[in-house]
Amino acid sequence: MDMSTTGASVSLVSENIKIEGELSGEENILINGRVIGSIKLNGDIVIGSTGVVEADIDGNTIIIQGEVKGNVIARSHLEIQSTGKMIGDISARSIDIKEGSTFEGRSHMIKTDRSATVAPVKQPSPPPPAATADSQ
Amino acid sequence: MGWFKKSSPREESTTTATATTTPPPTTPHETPVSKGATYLGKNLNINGSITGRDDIQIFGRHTGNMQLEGDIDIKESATIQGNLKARTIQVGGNAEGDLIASSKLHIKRTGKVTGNITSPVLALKEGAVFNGEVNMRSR
Repeated sequence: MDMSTTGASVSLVSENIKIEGELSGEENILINGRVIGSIKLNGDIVIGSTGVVEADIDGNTIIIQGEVKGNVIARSHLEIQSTGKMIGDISARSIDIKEGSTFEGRSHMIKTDRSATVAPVKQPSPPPPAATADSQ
Repeated sequence: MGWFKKSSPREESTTTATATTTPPPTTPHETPVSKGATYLGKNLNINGSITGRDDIQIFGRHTGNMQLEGDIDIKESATIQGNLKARTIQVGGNAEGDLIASSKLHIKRTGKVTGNITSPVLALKEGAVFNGEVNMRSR
């Protein structure tokens, strides 16, 4: 796990804590306890191996080591580690699903704006061989 | 410009000290510092209820009730709206709602409480703001 905290601090929900409600703000968070409701953060979210989240999650980089039930949007990167269990749909710019993990749901890749520059691929010119095929 | 000669023996002393004091980790996944303590940072807003057995330190905003078997520490930057129930409650920030502590309640110099408080032991520092009723029930 990289410790690059982007200015914001890191919050921690410990193992024996249950939060029912909405979490929002500009924080990185490590969840080892339970969260039921919704999480919408401008920061990185790690669901630790003891963490259980029943919520829709919206964050930058999301790492799942515990259990998640809900839809997840990772604006940069989503990782489901081998101990992770993910039930719900995911949207991410890049995904990494490790061997041994559980994922039930649909996956949708968020396209980067740079995809527009990738689109004009060199088109091969088939007319000459096609013309020869017609002549035969 | 000095040659900090003292630094080298000091380093030696610290290394020997740490070498002697480092206990073998019994449970590798549980670090004693983070165990049982929730930390809710300055830029985190929570709208809902919090329950559990651990301690909580709050630096951000929370709207909703909290019921814990551990301690609640409301830091100076924190704003809480809701009823709180815990073993000990420390208020250094803003709290609006009824506070019930089963062992001790402490309103710090920077603390501001609006609501009724119940605790067997009470500490109110000079500078604290408190509007409400006090109920000191015996243990």
